[in-house]
Amino acid sequence: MPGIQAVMDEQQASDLHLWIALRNGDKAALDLLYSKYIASLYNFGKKICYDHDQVKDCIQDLFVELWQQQKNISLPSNSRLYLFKSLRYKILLHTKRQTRYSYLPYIKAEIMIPSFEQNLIESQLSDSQKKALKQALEKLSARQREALVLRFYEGMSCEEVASVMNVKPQSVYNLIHQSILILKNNINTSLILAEYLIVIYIYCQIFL
Amino acid sequence: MNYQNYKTEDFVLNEGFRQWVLQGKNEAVWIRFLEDYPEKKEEIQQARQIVLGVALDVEVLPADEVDHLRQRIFQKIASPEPKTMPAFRFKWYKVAASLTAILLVSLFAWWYSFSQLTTYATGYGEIKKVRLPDGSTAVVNANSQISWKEGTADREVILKGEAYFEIKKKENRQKFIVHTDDIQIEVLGTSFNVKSRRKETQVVLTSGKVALHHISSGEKALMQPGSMVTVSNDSTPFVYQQVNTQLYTSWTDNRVLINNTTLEEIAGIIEDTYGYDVEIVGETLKKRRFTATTSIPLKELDMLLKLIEITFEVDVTRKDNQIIILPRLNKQSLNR
Repeated sequence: MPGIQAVMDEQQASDLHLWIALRNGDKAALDLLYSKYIASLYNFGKKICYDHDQVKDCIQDLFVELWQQQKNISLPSNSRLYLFKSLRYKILLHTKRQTRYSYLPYIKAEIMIPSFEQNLIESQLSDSQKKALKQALEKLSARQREALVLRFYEGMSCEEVASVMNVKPQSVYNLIHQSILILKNNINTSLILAEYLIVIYIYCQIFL
Repeated sequence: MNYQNYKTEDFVLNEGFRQWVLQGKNEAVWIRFLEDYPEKKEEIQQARQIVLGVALDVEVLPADEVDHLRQRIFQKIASPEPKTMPAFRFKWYKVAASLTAILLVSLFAWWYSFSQLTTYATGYGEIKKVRLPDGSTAVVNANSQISWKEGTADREVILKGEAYFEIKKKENRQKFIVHTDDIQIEVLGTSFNVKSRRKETQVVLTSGKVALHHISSGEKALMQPGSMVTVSNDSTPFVYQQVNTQLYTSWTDNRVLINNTTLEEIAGIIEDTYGYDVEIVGETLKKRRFTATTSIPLKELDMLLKLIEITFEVDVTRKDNQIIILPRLNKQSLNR
């Protein structure tokens, strides 16, 4: 599950090795980078661009260019940040070419293939809660969603999010705070205790 | 625990809280906190939903699409240009190759055809005597060109301008052929003058026999000594005349014979020989004929012009590339 801060330093170290291998023309390194970041990059890309194929095209361009410019690419201190920034730039450039620059309003239809963790999360919420959450999420602007996914899903610091989104860190704080308030005011708060206890029980089953 | 004052948003932003919600970390700590501060239950519920909701807001690329995209990337890397590009390049390569081949072949053909031709050319005021490969001779007048294929037994020459031929008779009766723009002149052994200028060819036969063949009309003629045939390069019939051949061959001795010759004809000779534009003012003057008792040397243009001035009683002015012949005023009035 992304967002595990403890593993991050280790990841940075192994990323550096991958990057060095990539610069030496190792295709396996590119393959590993792809495997490692495809899920995150796609999730992030879909937050700022509605078009599924366009996100895929941009990811393809990103990795192809990474290979073609391997000799010229300096070792990024934070490869994840580098990849996210590059992808974001590509998608925005692409969108700009096609339409005017704007975040497209986006409504997520449903979760496609939930992983084990997502099943777990889903199981903690009733259908009515999920519905309420989705409606609440729809009330967020694309920029707010972008900030949220980077901050909470990718587990980036506000400074890192600011770097990816090319804004000041204070703007990120504001975006996230606004988002949470919007979500808070839009979700169904009547969670009954019984429901809560069931959740606790499931946790105990799984983790203890 | 200092979460007593936490609001919903503070819980969401708390890393520890999120880890509990998403990963079940420190479960016991948070359960105890809820027991200690039951009034925080609602905020915690809200925060949980938000954290879970954000975590649910995940776009997943299906596994098969992940692999497909990976293939796309590595295919593109393996062949830097898409497949259409090499095909396109290949086409260009083909076009370039065929163009080069055509160029080389035509270059070779050009070189071959011209390298085999020996050409003699004369400038204005220049007369050259050329010995042809078969032993015949040609005197080439000014501003003319004669060429023939080297290294063949053919007795064929190409003439542009004027030349006087003295053809040796061959024992095997092989013909000698002169090509001009208008006609083919076939001869066995003879001497004759050919003048091919101003879209007109004039053949003057001094001795022997020649056969003429008009290229465009197909008309044929057999010439007798002392005759002249004038041919234009359109399909008009040959024009036959009996002439004093000396008048037409005197140029070979660098002299011009003037015998019942019009001033216009003399102007033509000057134009052909020296490259000047000669303008005669007045139609009657153009048609005036004159006979000189001696031939006039061609070599000195000044002397020739002086002689023309005296014999025709005209004013001759030379300016740049132009010679203007004007009737002398007093004489003109006398003539009238």
